[in-house]
Amino acid sequence: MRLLAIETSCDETAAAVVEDGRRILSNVVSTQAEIHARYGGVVPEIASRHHIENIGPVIGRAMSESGMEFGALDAVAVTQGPGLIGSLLVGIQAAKAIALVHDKPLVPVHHIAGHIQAPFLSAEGEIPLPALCLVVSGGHTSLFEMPAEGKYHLLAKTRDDAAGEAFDKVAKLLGLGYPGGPVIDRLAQRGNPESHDFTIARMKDGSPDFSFSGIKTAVLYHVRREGVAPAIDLANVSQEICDLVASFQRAVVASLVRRMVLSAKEKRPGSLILTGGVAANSLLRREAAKAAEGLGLPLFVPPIALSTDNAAMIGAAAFVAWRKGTRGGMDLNGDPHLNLA
Amino acid sequence: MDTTTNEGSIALSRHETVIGAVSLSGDQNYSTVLLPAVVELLAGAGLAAAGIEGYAVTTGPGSFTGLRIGISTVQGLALASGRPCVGLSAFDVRVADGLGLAPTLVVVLEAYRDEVYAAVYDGNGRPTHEPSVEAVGSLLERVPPDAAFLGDAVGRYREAIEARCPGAILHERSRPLAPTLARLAARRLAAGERPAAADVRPYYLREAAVRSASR
Repeated sequence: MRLLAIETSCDETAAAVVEDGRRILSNVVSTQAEIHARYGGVVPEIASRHHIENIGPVIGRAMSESGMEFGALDAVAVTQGPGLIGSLLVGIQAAKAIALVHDKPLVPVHHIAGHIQAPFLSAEGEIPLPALCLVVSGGHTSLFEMPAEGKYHLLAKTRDDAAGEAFDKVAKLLGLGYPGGPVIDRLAQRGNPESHDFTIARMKDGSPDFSFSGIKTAVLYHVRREGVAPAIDLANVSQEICDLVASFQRAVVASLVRRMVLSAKEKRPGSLILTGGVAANSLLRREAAKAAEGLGLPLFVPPIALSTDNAAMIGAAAFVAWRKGTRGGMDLNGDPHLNLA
Repeated sequence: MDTTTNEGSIALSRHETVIGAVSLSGDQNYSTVLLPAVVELLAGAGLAAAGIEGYAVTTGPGSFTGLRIGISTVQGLALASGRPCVGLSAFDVRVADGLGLAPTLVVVLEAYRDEVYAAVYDGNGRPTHEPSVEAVGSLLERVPPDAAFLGDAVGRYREAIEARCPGAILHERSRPLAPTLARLAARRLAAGERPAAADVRPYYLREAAVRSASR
């Protein structure tokens, strides 16, 4: 079962051909990160403008690299949401049109289901279910239980900012540019993570949800109070900033891993999955691996190219959805706030 | 296909003869209605999508989201079928309805924010100025008084146009663009042009407003 998957929910234009939800025949990603870096974040209209420029060439390349003709596909899959509506629509219209020409089933996919299924593209052997899945990216921070293939139960989500968003905002206020994740990861390796005592409060109502806006504000107040000068030259960042971001990163990672461990003890899953763009963070990967070892559970983390937004993961999730009978019509619309049911 | 304004349309032609057309009028959500309308139009003509030999789309100016919906849709159709895809500006399509009406033809399209998208042509449809987005007042200063005006912004600016250009011919009622687009594109394909789908680019004429996403 071979399908073409298209993903345009945020600032990557991506297309992939995936076989049986496991084997990647092609995986093309055109990123706009450098363009949005100028604005310190994703600008929706500019994202849409780049998607429309790139969608044709990206799909064309994904098909030619797969060695397949459109007519030989078994289905066409596309991210329906959540995401930026103008961006989503570019991929959705192209996907529907391709499905129409060749009379193939259209499979709408939830972006987060894509992130959760990403490890199935790289894992050797089976991933034991139920799995506990921590999805951490610039737009999402959620913990899901996957009791069976294609079933996702939300256990916790962020009440405010996504973890990746907190990285972006802290990087911005320290003059470190956009996106914040990779640069903070790099600078934190030169900093003292114990230099500042940033803590992330648990929810007062006992909810397992995450919250990352408080720590961002704590960093902001610290910077104002102490008069920390933003970095001017990324090749020459002050020790003060390195210490600050190392402490910030430690607190965010601790909050994420603590919640995963607590839920694992309660739910007793067969495995752990860490995925999403922030899963590229080296401290988070290390701490999650340590926690998994302590719990005696296997941890599955996709390689970085499959952690960040891509279409192969949409192909993996589409295969699962296709087997469940999920289909979209020619009236399929984008849904910026789509729920993962 | 034309989805550059909220009075969109699709049309089907055999050579240069339009054999079917559908208006997508009003404030519709093109992502939900465009392809179902294509399916209906094809069924009415007894054709399958795979039997279409060429595609065409208006590339703008107009609604940013609307024109992208049109372009991504025809790109998907043309790419998947290996067929050529003609992209024409809404100006070039609109002016084709007014050839010979006057020595100067002015296409004014609704750009909101008290501006119009404007293009000026001679009576044979050859462009004489760079297209612009501007207030209608400044446009009228450089247009001869006996020009003909076409486009969906004519009605809104009727008084201003008549005050400045008393001899003007006003084409107030806008016909759907897709039938004219189909004829123009068919002519190009018949002449041997084979534009690639991936080369069709949007024509905005107005910069993006820069505002970061709250996500």
